[in-house]
Amino acid sequence: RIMDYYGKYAAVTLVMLSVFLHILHSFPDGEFLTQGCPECKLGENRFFSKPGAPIYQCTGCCFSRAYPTPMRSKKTMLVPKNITSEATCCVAKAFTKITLKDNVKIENHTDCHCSTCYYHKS
Amino acid sequence: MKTINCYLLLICWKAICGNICELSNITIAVEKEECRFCISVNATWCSGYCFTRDPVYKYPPVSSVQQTCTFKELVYETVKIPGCADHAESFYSYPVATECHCESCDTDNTDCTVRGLGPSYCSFNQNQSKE
Repeated sequence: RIMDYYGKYAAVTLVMLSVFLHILHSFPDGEFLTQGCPECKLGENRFFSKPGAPIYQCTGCCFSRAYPTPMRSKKTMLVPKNITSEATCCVAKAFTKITLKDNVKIENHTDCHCSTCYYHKS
Repeated sequence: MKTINCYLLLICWKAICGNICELSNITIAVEKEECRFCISVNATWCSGYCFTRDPVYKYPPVSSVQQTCTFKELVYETVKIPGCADHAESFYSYPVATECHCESCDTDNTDCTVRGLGPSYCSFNQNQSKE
């Protein structure tokens, strides 16, 4: 009886997971980008938002890749690097500037796209 | 049991809804400048999608808040490059990624850019395949 009880729960869980995966795979590419990595778009920044004055921020997934640096590229480098990284990041395509209390200046993003990364180097 | 099932579903959800940065097969070109040809070599490297965000507060600038799909582990492999009329064969070592992750771009060993020449760029017209 106990085995039947737990078996039913396991079966329900597996069925729910299968349905969920089927739904994910049936979405067009633009909807989920690729299996759950959210597309680059506007989202509310809860830290800076106030009631009636939301602040929006660009967040989401963008494509990047890394590969061995071509020999031709290495010859042009002041300090040759063996690996090349091509990266795009979710950044604001358009924004407005907001000044908060204490003269703190922030951006309120109005449109997003995958473009040049500026804060990705270590 | 209900709790276990909930945790199981949550774990599966987290596994699915993560960054998708993984190994993929690529072809790289290795140049033999003296003989003016390239050979093609198959390797595995990293590509995919990483979660990023654009900070709304930028003063002072905050570094390393954006991640890129890059190598976590790599090994070096060596390939023999054929010679030509006046030049003997030679060997060339190139990096091969064995594991990938979303991480900040390490400028110590990586040229961090938006677009490069691509892994299969060859300065010469001739290409020889080698696996």
